[in-house]
Amino acid sequence: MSPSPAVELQAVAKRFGDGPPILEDISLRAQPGEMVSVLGPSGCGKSTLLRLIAGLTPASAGSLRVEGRPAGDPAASVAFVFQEATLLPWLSVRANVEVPLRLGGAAAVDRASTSSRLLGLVGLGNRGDAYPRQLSGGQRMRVSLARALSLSPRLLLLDEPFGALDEMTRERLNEELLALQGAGGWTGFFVTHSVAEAVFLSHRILILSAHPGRLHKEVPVPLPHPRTAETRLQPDYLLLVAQVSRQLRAVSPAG
Amino acid sequence: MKSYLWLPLLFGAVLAADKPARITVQLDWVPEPEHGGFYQAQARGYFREEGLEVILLPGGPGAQVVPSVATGKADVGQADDISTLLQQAEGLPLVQFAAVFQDDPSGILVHADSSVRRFEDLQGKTVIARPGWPFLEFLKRKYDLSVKVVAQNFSSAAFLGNKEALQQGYYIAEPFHITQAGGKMPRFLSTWDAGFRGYAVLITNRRFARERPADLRAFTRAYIRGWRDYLEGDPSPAHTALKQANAQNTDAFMDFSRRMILGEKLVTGRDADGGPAKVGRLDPARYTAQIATLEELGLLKPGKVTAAAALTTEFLP
Amino acid sequence: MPRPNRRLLLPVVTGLLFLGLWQGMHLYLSDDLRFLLPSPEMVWRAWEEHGALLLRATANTAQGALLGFSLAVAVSAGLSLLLSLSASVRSSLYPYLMALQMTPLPILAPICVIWVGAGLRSVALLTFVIAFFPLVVNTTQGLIATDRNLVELFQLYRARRWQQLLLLRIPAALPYFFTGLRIAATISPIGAVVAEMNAGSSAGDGGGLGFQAVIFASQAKYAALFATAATTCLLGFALNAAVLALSWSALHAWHDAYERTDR
Repeated sequence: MSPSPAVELQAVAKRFGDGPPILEDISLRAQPGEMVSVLGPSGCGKSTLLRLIAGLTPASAGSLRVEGRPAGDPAASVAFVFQEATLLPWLSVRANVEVPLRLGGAAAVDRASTSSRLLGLVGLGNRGDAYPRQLSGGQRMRVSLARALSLSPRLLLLDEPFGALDEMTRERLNEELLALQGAGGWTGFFVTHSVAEAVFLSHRILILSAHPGRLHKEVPVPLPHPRTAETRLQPDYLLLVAQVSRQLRAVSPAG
Repeated sequence: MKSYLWLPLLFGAVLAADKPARITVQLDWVPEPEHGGFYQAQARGYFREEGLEVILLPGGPGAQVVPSVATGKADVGQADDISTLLQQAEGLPLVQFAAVFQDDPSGILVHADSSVRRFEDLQGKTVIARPGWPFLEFLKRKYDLSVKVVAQNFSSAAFLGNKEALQQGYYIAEPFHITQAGGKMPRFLSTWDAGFRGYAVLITNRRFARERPADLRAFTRAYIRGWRDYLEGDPSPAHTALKQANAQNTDAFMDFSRRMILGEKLVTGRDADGGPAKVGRLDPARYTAQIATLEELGLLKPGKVTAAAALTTEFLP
Repeated sequence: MPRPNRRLLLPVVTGLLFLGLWQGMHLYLSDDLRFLLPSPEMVWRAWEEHGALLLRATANTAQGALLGFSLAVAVSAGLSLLLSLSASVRSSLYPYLMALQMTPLPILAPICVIWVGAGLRSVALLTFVIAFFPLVVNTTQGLIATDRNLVELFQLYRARRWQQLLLLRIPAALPYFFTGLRIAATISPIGAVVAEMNAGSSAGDGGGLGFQAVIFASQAKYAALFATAATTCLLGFALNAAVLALSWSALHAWHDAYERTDR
């Protein structure tokens, strides 16, 4: 049997107050080191799913476990990357990366070495003293990633992080993300609208249907690693993209 | 002219004659017995008899008599002559044409038990007054005093709260309010005791004096008549009107005020030549002396104003 | 014409046109009414004649304005923190703060005089009352309007309440605080002058600009009054400039409002 799952959900449901159910009967697993993408039409609860796993909001039913602990447990090392880079504009790039460390009480010396290393990893080693306002969208997202990795998380949740960027930047960041995962060994949950992105990044793709959000299909992505720009030209890749697109269309409302 | 043309002309003349001439008067304070002359004249119909319709505009703490009259918003105003002299020196087109009081009843209110007894005792003290009050400037220079001034708020509260307080006041009004509020009858350092002989006057702007001399003459006549009747006769017509004009005028207050006016001979004059004939009169010689004093004390720039230019007696009966 | 020169030149040109218009209007008035609008030259002469007096008065007014302003900053900082805690706190306190703000100064002035005495203390207190409301409102808004995403980020990293306040809410509120500060800096001199008119005293080195204005007005020295008004404006500009400089030094590195544009 494989090692205990990094993430395990069983029959999880979520509704806000007396509202309609957002998610219903979600059961899934993610293994350590896996990258799992979540695809679905608008309103299928993808973001809510991520927030449940992060422990930002409680489930209405079912169980969620992260590394064997309940979701939201302080000891579970989970990092979240939002749709917007959400950097603190009054802090330098370096200081932004150090924020989680600072909140955790780490010493300045440790903070400095970690932030230098991470900024190097995301290719911003010489921009440490810049302010967020001086950076491009892609650069800001890289800082956001570096910050997310600063506490060496075991699980990284990403909610459409590259959605606001242009195609070329997005593709490059996808490749960099995979490199970071290779180096860090964390498990990743990636919510996206883009089938191409989902196929490129993941080991598995979860397709959700909407109203309420349910797990419609699980699609394995048996493409080899490491995945590079070349991978996007492979027939297997293109075929998978077409297949997943069809699946997605099946659960998307007409028009 | 043909006979039938006379008729409409006559008719028109009659109509025109019937229409009373309007004069607006800006009072310097809320209506009080200091304005007795106006209200008695109005209540008794003296203005009407002279063919005048007089509108009395109440003033108050923020009363802007001089700007009002200088710009023509009001035709006539009540003010004190020395402040007016200083303003005339600045080029304001005003002319003083009748006296209200032969002596301005402004002065410094002093608590009965205060240590201040004479003007010299004001040294180093704080006086609640209108900033720039000429009398205070006069005292400072005459007695070589340094006195602190605190902005006047027109309430007796500050005065009542402090036994050593000194406040600018009107002799014929504030003492009443203070005794009403439970204080002892205050003493008064009056302007005439310091040799500061100011009038309270009626002023008008030069254009009005130029364009409507007959109305001004008629107005002055009726005013003097009203003042004399108020002081010598039965004041109740004025008092009724004053009560209507200002609800704060109680009978007790108005009687007090009138008694003070009579007692200090404010309208008829404290000097030897005082009397009913003096009501409303202005003495150019006194003005010349005032101007000289003010120039000496550095309050007035020499040559800026002369008695001849500042006042006129042509409208007095 | 190179750009920076044009920016300095334009107000000067407008100023000269304005002065010309002013002089023209003064001459156009009839002899009787000319006192209403002293000419620029008369105002300048009044400034020369009363220069020393106005300088002393400015120092006094500045003292009162700065004291009241500083007090307002200090109190509003604490009050804003309190108000940012919860909506219930805000609902309970806001109406009373507003009531204080809406009470006209001439009504508050005599009360202040009885409580703390006329002169600098009253002027400072009244200036404080005028200046602190925009500061409180803006700073409180800044403290509660923190970007939701950032708040969530801090939640994710299990930041404690004080960390959230110190490292997130307060820095995020700085631009709002400076907005309030600029408003307060503009109205503090005005408040001080009005306070002096109602609660001023000539103690010390003479009253301030407001006190002096009352004297000039009662003497119909209108040219001097204009000069006093101009001096008050200059005081306001000076305070404003100081706050702008402070604002710039705190925010220019990172705030969008200071982004260099090519226009």
